[in-house]
Amino acid sequence: MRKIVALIVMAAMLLVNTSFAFAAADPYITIVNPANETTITSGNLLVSVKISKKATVKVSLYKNTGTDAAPAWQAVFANDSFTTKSNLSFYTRKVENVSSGKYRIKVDTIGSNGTAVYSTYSNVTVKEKAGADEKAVFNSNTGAATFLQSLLQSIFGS
Amino acid sequence: MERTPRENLIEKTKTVIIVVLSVCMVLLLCFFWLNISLKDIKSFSIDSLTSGEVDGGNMPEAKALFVPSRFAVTDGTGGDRLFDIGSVACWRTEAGTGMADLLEASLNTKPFFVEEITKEQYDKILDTLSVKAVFDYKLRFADLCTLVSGNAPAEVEQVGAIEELSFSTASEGSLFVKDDRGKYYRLLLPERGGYLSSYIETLSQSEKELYFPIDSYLGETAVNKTLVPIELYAELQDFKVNRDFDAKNRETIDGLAKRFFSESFDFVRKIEEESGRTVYMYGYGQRILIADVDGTLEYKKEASDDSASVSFLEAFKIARTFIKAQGGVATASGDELQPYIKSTEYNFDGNGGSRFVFGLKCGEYRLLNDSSDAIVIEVSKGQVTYFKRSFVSFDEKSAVGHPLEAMAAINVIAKNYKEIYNIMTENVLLKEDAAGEDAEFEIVTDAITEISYGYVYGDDNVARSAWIITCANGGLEVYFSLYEGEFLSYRVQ
Repeated sequence: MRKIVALIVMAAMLLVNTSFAFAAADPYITIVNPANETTITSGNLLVSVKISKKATVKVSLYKNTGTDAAPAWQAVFANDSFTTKSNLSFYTRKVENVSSGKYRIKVDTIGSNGTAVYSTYSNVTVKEKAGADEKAVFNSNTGAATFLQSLLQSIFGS
Repeated sequence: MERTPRENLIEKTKTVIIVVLSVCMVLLLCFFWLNISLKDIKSFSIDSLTSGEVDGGNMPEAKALFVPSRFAVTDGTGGDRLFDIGSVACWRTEAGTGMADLLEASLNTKPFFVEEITKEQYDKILDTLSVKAVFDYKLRFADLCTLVSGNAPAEVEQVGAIEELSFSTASEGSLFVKDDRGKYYRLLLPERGGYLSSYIETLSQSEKELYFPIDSYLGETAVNKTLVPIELYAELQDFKVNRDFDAKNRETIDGLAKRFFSESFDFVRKIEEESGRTVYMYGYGQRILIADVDGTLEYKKEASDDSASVSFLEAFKIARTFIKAQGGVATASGDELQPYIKSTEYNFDGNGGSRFVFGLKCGEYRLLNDSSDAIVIEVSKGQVTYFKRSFVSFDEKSAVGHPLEAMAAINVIAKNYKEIYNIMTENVLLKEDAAGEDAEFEIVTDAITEISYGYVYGDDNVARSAWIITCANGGLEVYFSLYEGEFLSYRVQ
């Protein structure tokens, strides 16, 4: 019986948390880049937020310096304010030399009283980029065969 | 009977006198009979010019004009930096380390090696520290090879018009080509381009603004790799331009017209219209020149049927000679201008003719007119059949001010997408209508093929600093003020 009650309580808490999270997200704000739950390999990060109404937003980028179980969010930049008087606009910002790790972008929609009325998030993972390997990209056998063919053509004519 | 030396001398002198008198008689006959003046002899006939140098104005050679429109350098960690050919040593260097130098070395290698590669291979090898030389106009790769090394190996005939010539530090022994048929090629170099690698590394770390593909700003649904700067601090400011000539100044216009009809100007009919336009006509309209009130000169000539067509590069030589004969790229008042190739067309007339369109630059930025191009010239069957020039003079120093933050290009589009959509609809540049605002925005962003900035002037003769948004595969250019993002004008090409 206790187990059942505990399960119901846990399920209720999860539902409440989820609904809270969705309620907090502004339907007029979309974090387009980097998209939520994606892995990127970029060192130069483009932050692009689509804003589909007249609004003031504050954008922050955090890096998780803790662990997945116990995250510690350290600001890369915080509360970058942007106001638009248009029904469609984009907040953009470049962040250079982004090291590998887990990041969170937070966009606060600021209400008339100056406080955040909505908060929209995007969580991304940045990974080290593997360098392009010439041998792996080009099939060396194909290249050698073509080269040999080209050599024979140049000797004997086409 | 033998003549004495004295008699011999007298006979020879007589012979010389007779020859001189005969030549003088022929020349005098020409002067009086054909009504030729000494000035006419000094000048030259446009029609007789097919190639070679003439003592006219300045016009750069093909090698100086058929160059990349820009260089895109990336360090592979996201974003590109764009450079004008005049500001970097990526193409030709004295040390032979530029991309054209490497291409020349590759073409002169025996055996020459070129292989087709896949798009995936091309994208992967360039997704690191690399440089792309981008060509905005049509130039067959074989023609580029001829310009670079004097000849084109038979193997390059398979390659179409070049869109990108690329070099990657991940494959320093190769050059890569993307053509207009969507095919990709790899050329082997005789030596590794180590110097170019270190040079582009320096460029990749410069302070130039970063460009990202437009789909990075817009999200997953967009698929458009047109580069857009994330932010821009620009020194461009508005300035006055003066049209090439004043249509009321008959003397200047006649002087310009004589260059077109030099040997037969006396037989040219001149019609002065009430609007201020002057029309010069030779014969029954075989040759027409129009000097318009907006300072443009337009020349048309019927092509002879008996002439053979010439190659694209030969046609360019003919066009260049013609332009030089018309005073080159200098205004009627003598101001030298800086041309670039805006577009080209092979076989524009179905008879192997070539069309060249030139634009003007102010410093490293394009100076556009919202209704015409600086020079349009068509060569058909080895003759110039159409020529139009629209020049302006200006003070280049007045075009540069203090750096200011431009309105973000992506927000210029967001602010004005309805305007662009309506222009595209009015000019029948859309395949289908959009259902709703989101669809309109998507259609516009899908149609964008280039975003750049420069100067644009119209009838008011004020060159304004502007965002230049090119849509519909170059069929439409829409101009917005650089700092406020306000609509200025547009041009359907």
